Amino acid sequence: MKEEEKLWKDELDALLGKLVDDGLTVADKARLNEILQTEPGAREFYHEYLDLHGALEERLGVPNFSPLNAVIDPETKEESKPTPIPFGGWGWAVAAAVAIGLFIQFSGQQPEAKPELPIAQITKLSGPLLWTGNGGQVNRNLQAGSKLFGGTIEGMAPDAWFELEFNDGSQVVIAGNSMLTISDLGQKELRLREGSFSANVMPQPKGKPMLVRTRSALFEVMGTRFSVDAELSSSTLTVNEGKVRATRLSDGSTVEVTARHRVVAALDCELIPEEMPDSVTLWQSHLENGRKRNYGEWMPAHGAEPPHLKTVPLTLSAKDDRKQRTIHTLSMPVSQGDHPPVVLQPETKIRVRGKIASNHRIWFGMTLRRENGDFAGRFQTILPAEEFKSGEPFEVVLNLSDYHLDPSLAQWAESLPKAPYDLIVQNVWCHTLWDPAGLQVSEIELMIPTEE
Amino acid sequence: MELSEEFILELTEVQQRLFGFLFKRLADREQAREVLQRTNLVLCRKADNYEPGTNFKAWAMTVANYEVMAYRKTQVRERLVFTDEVDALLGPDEDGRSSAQSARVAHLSHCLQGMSLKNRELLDWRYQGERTMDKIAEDVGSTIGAVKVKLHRLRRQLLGCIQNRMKEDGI
Repeated sequence: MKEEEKLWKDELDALLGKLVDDGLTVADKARLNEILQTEPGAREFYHEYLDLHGALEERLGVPNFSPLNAVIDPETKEESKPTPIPFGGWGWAVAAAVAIGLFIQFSGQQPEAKPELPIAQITKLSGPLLWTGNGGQVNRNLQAGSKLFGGTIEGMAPDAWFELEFNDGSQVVIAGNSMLTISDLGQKELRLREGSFSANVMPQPKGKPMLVRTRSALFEVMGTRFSVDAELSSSTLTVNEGKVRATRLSDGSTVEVTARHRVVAALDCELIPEEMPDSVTLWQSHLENGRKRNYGEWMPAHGAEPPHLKTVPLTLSAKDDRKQRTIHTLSMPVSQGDHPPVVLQPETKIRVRGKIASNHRIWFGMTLRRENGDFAGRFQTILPAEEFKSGEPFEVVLNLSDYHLDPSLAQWAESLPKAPYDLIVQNVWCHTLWDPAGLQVSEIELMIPTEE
Repeated sequence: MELSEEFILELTEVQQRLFGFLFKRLADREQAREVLQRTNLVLCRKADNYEPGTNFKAWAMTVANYEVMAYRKTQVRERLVFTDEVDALLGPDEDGRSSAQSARVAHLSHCLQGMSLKNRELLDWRYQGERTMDKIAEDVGSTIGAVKVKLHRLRRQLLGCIQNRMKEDGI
C-alpha cells in the first residue's frame, strides 16, 4: 500500500469510528468531505462501514419507532426534535406496539371531544404506561411535554413511572402498577383505583380543596405533600408536609392528618392518625401470607415447593409486533401500606431465592423514593444466564453497590440520586426479557450482614 | 388517511433500514431522525399509491432519497456534513446496495456467533441502547476512548468476516 493511500485510509478509519460513536467536529467534517471526494475507494469503504453499522442496529438494537410519532400524534409532529419515550431496552418494544396501535387507532380519525384547555402536562415518564383520555381514547404514546385533558393513567408494570404537573404547579407521581384518574373542572379531583401515588399540591382555591378518592376513603387537600396507597379494603394516607382531612367512607368518620403522620382508613381499625413509624433497614417478603399486593402469579406451597410468585407476561400482539416480544416480570411491595419505610444502607445486601425453568439473564431491581415521597429512580443489576441452572432453585446475594440507575431513566438522571443509598424501597422486582424463562421467586430479603 | 394493516406493518418494518440509509446520507443522527419523520409523513400521505405485494422497501427508499434532497435545500450549508459534490458521489444508487445490505445482515448473524462472548457482549451493550458509553466503560473497567476504539476494531473484524463470506457466495 502506498504511503499516501495508507494515510487517508487511517484517517478515514478514525473518522468513521467517530461518526458512528461520537460525532464529527467541523474539522473532521471537512476532512471527511475531502477524502470522500478524492478517493473512490474511500467512498466504497464509507458505504461498507455505515452499512455494517446499520446492520448491527437492525440485528442487535431494539428498534426506535419514535420517528413514527409524527404521523401518529398530530400534537407531536411539529416538534423539530421529538423527545423519544425514555424507555430503555424492552421499553422500545413497547413503544413499537404503542406506535402501531395508535397508528391504527388514529388513522382516519381526529380527536373531537377534547376540552379547550389542557389541565395538566406530563413532565417525566418511563416504562409501560397507558393513558385513557376523555371519550375513551387510549394512548400509549405518551411523551414528556404532552398535554393532558383529564383521564386515567395506568402503570402497566412495576417499572412504570409517571409525573404530571397541573396548570397551578401541583405535581402528582405514580410509580409501579397503579391506576389514577385525574380531572380538574374548577376543582382538582383524583381517583386512585389501585396502587399508590404521591403528590406535592400547591395551595388550592378557598372552598375547593383537591379531592382524592379511593374505594374506602376521601381525602381533602388544601396544599401539602402527601402520598396515598390504596388496597382493596383499606387506604393509607401519609402526610409529609401540611395537613389533609381524611374521611372513611364506610361510616363518614373524619380526622385531620398533620405533617409526618399517617392514617389507615379501613373497617377493622380505628381512624386515628399516628406518627410515621421510624424507618427500618431490614425486610423480608412473606409469600406464605398470600398474594396481597404482589404483582405476579402467586402460587401456594405445594410439596417441597415453597409459596412463590411467578412472572407474568406483558406481551406485544403479533398484529402490533411481528417478533411478539414479551417481558416477564414480578414485583413485591416493600414500604407500602402500613409497613414502616425500609431504608437502604450502603452495606445492604439483597438475597433472592427462586427457580428458573431455562437459564436466562435476570434483571433484579428496586423502585426507590425519597423521604418526602418523591420518586428516586429505579436501580437494577443484571446477572448473566450462566449464573443459573435450568430447572434448579437458585439463591443469589446481591450487593447494593452493584445496583445502577436504570438506563432508561438516563434522561432524568440529573434530578435522580446517583446511588441507591439512604433511600426508601417502594418495591422490589425481577424480570426476564423476550423468552419465557419460567422465572419464579419464593423469597426476597433485604439484609445487613452482621460482623462475626 | 386510512392506512391498511399491511401498510402499517411494512412501514414499521422498514424504519431501521430507512434510518440507516438516512444516517449514511446525512452523517448526522438528529438530521437523519428528522428526515425519517418527514419520509414517514410522505409515505402515509401517499399510502393510496402503494400496491400491496409490491416492493415497499424500494418505494420507501425512493421517497427517503427525495426527502434528503428536499431537506438539503432547506438547510444552510454549515449545518450539513456533506458538500453537494460529495452527496452526489455518495448516493443514491441504493438498488444494488439494498440487496447487498440484506446479504450483509444475513452474514452478520454468523459472524457474530464466531465472536468471543466478551466482544459480543460489548456490541450488545453498544447497540441495544440500554447503556450509555459512560456506563459501558465503567462496566468493562476502561475509559470511554478505549471502548470506542475497541468497538471500531470489532466492526472492522466483522466487516472482514462478512466480506469473506460474501466473496464465498460470489457477491
